[in-house]
Amino acid sequence: MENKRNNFSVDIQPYIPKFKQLAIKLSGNSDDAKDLIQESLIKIYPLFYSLDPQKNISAWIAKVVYNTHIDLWRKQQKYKLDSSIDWQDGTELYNEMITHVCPLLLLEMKEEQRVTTEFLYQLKNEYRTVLILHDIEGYTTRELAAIFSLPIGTIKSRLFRARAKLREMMQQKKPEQSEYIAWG
Amino acid sequence: MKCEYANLFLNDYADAQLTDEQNSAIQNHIEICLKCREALTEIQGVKKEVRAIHLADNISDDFMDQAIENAIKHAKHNHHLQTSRSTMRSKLSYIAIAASFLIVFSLGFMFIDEKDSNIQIVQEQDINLLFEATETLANVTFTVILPANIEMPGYPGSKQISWQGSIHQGKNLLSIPIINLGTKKGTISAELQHQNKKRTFKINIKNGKPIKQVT
Repeated sequence: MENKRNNFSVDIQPYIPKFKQLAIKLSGNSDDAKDLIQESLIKIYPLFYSLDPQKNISAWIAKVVYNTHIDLWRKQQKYKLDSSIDWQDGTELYNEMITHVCPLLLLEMKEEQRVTTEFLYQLKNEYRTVLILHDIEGYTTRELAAIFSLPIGTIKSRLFRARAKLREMMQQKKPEQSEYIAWG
Repeated sequence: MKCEYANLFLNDYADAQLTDEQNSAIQNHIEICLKCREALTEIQGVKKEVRAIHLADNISDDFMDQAIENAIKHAKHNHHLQTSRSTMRSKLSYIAIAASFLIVFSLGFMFIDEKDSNIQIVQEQDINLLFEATETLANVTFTVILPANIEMPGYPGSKQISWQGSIHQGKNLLSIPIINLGTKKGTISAELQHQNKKRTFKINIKNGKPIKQVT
């Protein structure tokens, strides 16, 4: 047991930078990202050593983080929304939602990057998450199909629409200044 | 090649996802078509801008170390998580409190006890299956197949979840955490496979109540 504990603290390290950035990008703010990191690690640890080393562990971690993100989001929404909402369609609701990015995370960015980032966070979740994972984190469409449990064709279609939408937004106007929200 | 056709492949071209033949066809087209060349440049521009996004990372290494430590502690205090979501405990008293299904099997996976439970599946809870094994078995594959509207926490939308674990000699408890999103009817399947031996336990849900059935 002690060996496993020691190993996990060491063995998880190569995945931490990507894991942390993914949690921050999915959450859009540090407080939610911390919750997401903690909850994801709780799910990752018991399964970590039963994974096939031949498998893409990074993509598996991304799947856990993505699923945990939806799970945490659902729990939050259940407290906020009317109980008459049919939670059978929870994932569809999640896909439609827009996440605000915390302005504190944009402070170090150049103006042009900040504009792109704000546009990115004005996209629906279903588009934004695909763009984050594919264009920023470098996952392939095949890996994304496994992460989202969707056909490759759907992933490609979302990716293309997301880019088209982002392009359209960039051409049309500057983003609305995002409201500061007191996270947590 | 017509522009409408070329347009369908511009994103794949930008992502280097085309075959050599398709790649050449698109290349030939954009060399002679200004409109498609501009569209490709825009796609590549969006890709480049998105790729450059790196949000400020103000989560400290100390937090990460603590989060890792917390995950290990959490698993220690929740033994069922420690063994890949399959809780292996030999405490009959715990099972009584948990209102579990009692299922006993030997190496031949013989079912010898059958008690219907009258517990209600509420929003989130564990379904517990109690097994008795005549010897310790390693590398057992557990597979849970869920009906519509029933999910395992952390796996929204996943209808089949598999993991590896071990079964100890004596009584073992397999704990399956579930979230009921409002289903009245359906079947949860829990499969255990060791080498060429396979056993499936089915829990039917009728009017929101689980009714055990073994196949």
